[in-house]
Amino acid sequence: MMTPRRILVLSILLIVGLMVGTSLLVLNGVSRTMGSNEISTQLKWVAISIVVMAVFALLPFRWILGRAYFFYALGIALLLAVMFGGKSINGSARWIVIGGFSLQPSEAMKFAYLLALARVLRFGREIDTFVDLMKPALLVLPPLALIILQPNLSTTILFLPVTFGVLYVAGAHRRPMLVILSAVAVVAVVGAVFFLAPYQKDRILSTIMRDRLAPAERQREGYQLEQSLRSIGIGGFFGAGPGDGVQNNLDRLAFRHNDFIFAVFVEEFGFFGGALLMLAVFLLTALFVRTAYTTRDPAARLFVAGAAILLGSQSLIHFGVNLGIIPTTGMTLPFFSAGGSSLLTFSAILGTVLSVARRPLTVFAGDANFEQIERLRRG
Amino acid sequence: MAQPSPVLIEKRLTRLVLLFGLGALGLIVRLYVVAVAQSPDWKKAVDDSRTKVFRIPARRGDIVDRSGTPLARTIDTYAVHVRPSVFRESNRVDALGDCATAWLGLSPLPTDSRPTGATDEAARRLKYYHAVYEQRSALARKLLGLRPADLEFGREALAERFRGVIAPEGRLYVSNSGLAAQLKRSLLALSDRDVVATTEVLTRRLKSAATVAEALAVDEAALSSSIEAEWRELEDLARAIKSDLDEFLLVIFGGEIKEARHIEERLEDLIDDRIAVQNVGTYDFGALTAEDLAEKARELEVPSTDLDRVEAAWNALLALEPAGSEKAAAADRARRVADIGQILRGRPMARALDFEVPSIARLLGVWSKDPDVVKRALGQKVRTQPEFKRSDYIAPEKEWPRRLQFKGSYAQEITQGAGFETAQHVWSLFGLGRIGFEVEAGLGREYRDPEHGSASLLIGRLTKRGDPLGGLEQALNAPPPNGVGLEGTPGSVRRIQEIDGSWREIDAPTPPVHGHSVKLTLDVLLQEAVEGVLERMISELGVPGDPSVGGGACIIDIENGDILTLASAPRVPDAVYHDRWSMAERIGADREAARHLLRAGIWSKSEFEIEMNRLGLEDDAKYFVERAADAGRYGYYPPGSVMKTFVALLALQEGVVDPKEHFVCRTDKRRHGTVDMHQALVVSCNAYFQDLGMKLGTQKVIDYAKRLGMFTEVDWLIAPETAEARYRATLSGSPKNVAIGQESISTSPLEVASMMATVARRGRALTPRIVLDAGPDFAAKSARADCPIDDQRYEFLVASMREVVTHAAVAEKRLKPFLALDIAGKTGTAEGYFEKRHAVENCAWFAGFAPAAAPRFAIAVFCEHTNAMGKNVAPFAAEMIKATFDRYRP
Repeated sequence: MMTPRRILVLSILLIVGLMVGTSLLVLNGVSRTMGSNEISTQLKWVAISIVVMAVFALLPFRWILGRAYFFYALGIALLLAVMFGGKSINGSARWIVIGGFSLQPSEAMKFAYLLALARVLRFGREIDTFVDLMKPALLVLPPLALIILQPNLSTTILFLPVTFGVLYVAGAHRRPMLVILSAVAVVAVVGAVFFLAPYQKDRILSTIMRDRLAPAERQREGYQLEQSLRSIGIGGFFGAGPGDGVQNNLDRLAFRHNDFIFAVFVEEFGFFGGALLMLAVFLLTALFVRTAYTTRDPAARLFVAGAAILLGSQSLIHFGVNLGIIPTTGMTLPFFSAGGSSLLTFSAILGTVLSVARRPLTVFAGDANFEQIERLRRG
Repeated sequence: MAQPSPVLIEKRLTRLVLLFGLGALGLIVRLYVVAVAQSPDWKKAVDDSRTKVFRIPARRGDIVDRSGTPLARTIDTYAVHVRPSVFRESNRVDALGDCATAWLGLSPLPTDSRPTGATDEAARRLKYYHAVYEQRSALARKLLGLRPADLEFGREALAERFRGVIAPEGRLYVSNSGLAAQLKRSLLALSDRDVVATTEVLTRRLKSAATVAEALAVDEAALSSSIEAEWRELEDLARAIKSDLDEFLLVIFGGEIKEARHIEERLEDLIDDRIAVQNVGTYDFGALTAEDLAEKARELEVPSTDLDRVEAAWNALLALEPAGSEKAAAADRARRVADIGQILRGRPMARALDFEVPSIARLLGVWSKDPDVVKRALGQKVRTQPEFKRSDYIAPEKEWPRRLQFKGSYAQEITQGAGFETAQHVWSLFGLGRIGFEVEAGLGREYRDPEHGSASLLIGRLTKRGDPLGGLEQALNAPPPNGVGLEGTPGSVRRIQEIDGSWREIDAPTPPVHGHSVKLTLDVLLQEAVEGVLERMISELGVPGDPSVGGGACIIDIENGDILTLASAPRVPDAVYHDRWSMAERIGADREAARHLLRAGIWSKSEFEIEMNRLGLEDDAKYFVERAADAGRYGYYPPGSVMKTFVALLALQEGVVDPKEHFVCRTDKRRHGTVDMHQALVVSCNAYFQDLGMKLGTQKVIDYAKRLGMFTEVDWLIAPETAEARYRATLSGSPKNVAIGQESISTSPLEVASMMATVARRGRALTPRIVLDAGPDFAAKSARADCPIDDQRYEFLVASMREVVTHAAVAEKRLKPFLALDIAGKTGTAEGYFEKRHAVENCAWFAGFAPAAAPRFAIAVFCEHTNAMGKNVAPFAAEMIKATFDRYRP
């Protein structure tokens, strides 16, 4: 029987399934043009991810939550391991090799961090003083420090909206949030001026100043961005068809299997496909939020809300980078880009969200009862 | 603290969704703008980026001789390119594969299993390579899973394999080339750290047992042998284009290496400059005079003026260590650098003399006396000075492994003008090994007899890029009226790259306009015969063992002015043509610079002369001088007594002398006694003709010479500007000297032969020509006016010239057999023109025409730098005339 709960679970699965399926179609073309075997690797990862997702979906959320700190500690340990014995790709040590598979602990840390944050804030009273913010602050700083040392600025930045978003949903008051946000903004600007590597500054400048750059400079500084925009630009309304993109076939765009997969997708499926993909991601975010509505477990609510924020902001950044409105940074598109770590992490998150979605209401002592809430909502 | 109300939370969740919704909406709008609204612009940008204009080369016209024998012709050749990205990707031979080979000492793939070139075989092989590539990654995982201690292999075997050396402390050192570099890279790739000293890794890996064989018990024999095979194919290819493997790789990455070299050279220049600036005085003990040495001895408080002891004292002084402060150390360093500067006196270290090296070594605190070691030490010493950044200094051998990792995507040319065989070889390699080679068909140029360079200076050659370099190739290159359009105009075609990588034409190609072929008046067989005689003459009459001594010869058909032979010796073989050409260019530039320095007052006259003399010697030593056509412009080929023929004619025409009139020769060193004009010509009496010269004046003599064909333009061979310049320069000569063909007058065999031809035609205009036919648009540029000679005077002159030859035959026995040829000629011996190097300094000539009764061919021959006289040249000229008669029986 189709209960609303079942509909929710099925629609989430349907959207994710469609996304992963489409991504395999795109990756097939990409891996052919790149002369690599991305597609077969990705298929293996998809298989593993389905198992992981199913396991997490079948486990009770309380059980998962109970191991939040364990996951967190494991994540930190992996990050430390990367720091002292990781494998470097493209100049930053982000990977660790386990049993023949390369993993990015910073990806896994997203899941562990969300879980731990939910656990810390679950009995959240109203958060209105700086002292109340200390706990989440203590929680977020170690992984941030370890990830920024890799260096991996993009993932680091992603932790900010997640942390603030979850705090916001947990009921933090506006004033301390605003103070901290402005402090972060100041630190970010100062940091950008003094600590960014020249290549990072160039990327930011070339995005902001794109229209004022001479064509030659555009080619040099913003080559990747220029190629991404060209890929999207020649997509037109319906695109060239799967595997038939010119930019894709002529090997113009680097990282097109992960960080710039949206550009390839639009080249081959056009504005129509691109907009649909964006809507799908938005719908998935909304369904996550809907899941957060339905649960009465505060920790679950926070986790699911956090998952929605993570999914939404990471996707928005990916789209933004591909469309040239955010400085170029490596950000995968969840459930779409090639790459095992990202897929695995989001499968774990998805599994946990499904685990929340498929369980009946759990009412705690001290929690308002359902009728009350309904009344309040209408009033 | 109270629990936040569910309402608040839901409100905030709603806001979050709205926020994301807004974000998504904004992005969709942006997507619409880029993908739909701006789509045409982006489409255009992408189309532009995949459109390329291809050049369709025009076929350069051939140059053939009068009977159609090709002297220079355009042929099909191939250029071989390499695409370093592909090359490196596949040949990264996955590093590990190499290691496996090295560790296990596997034998290469047996030759009989290699395919012979059929296409299905190629496909099979390609498949095999793919499979190997797949296996390699599995191997990589296996190897990476091993403990370092497990990776073990025999040290001696490794050393042998990679031409390495095992040092006494047990370390293995391998050179940075070829397979050794491969091994190093492999080890670097294998190591679990990013940066690692190769020797360190090697020693670490060299420690223990042989479990690796078991670990690699996959299909590693096939794997490693295929790598071997691929590497060997590279070596084959290197051999095919006649290159050492290392050199060959250097060519592939030449651009990068060149850049590194350039930086290195610039830095060395800086160092040298710095040393030169500090150049004050000299402590080059070997060069000290006795007085200076005594003074130095006093200064150093040495009781003796013995050179060794003074030097020892000086060195002991230098060896004293100054006080310990940093400032003092810096001062010491500066002083040492200054001292080295004084020893080197502005020369780079590479040019330090043997006895100077030990002193420099001492100053640097280096024990070795090996110049290379000292040079490196010097570089380092100076580089530690703060103004030199270490990072500026890039050693190519260190850059090499790093640059191998660089992914370039532009094809680089490794050889041009490859033959079909090499092209085929590369093509099959490209098809099989997929290692990044490409073959491009193109056009090349083939010359007759490249080994000796027959007529190479007359015909000219092309540069590697196809630009003309001297000779007729250059003169006839441009379209009319400046040339005959030998070059042609290349066509072009615009193509767009399709998604499968192929190129499609997007509009109709502009076809190339091929160059016109040219038929010369030259008779190549005669030319070769004459060149042979000429070289024999030079070896007999010239300075033995000096390649710079040369000569020239020209034979003209009197009937139509066809230049049958225009020979210059020594010939320049193709292999050295370009080098000599650039050398000649550089010397020209140096001469110009020296003149500028003199004019600007920077150099004194003596300094200028020393430099010019030096350049002159260098120039002479390179024997890159065209001596037949426009040799006059060099200013040192005076015709000598040959000139007397024309002066006699002029004097008769002007009536300034009665040919029967007797003249008493007092000034000529040969003391001819009483002579009339006939005798004066036969014995070549200078005094007689100097007297005539005084009567006629310089202006009249050279104007008459000009009417006969001296100082006159010849199409494609003598430019009007240089002819005019010589005419004006000759005006400054005294009539006495000009009348006997010396001092300011300078000419060439072509000019003298054309004058003789005009005389033989009794003054009827004759325009010498080298181009017989060059297509419908071709027309000769210059034409000459008549300069009539009446019969009586002509007969008189011919009789005298016949007698000249019979007279010469008395002294020169070898001429006798040729008397039957009925040659009318005049000998000439211009003296004192090559004071630069040799005691022998004559320029000996013979010019004339034959048969005297009914002239058919005019000839002029000369030999420079000789002790011989004109009469010694005569038999060789006669031999040339005989060769001409043999081919064209009169």
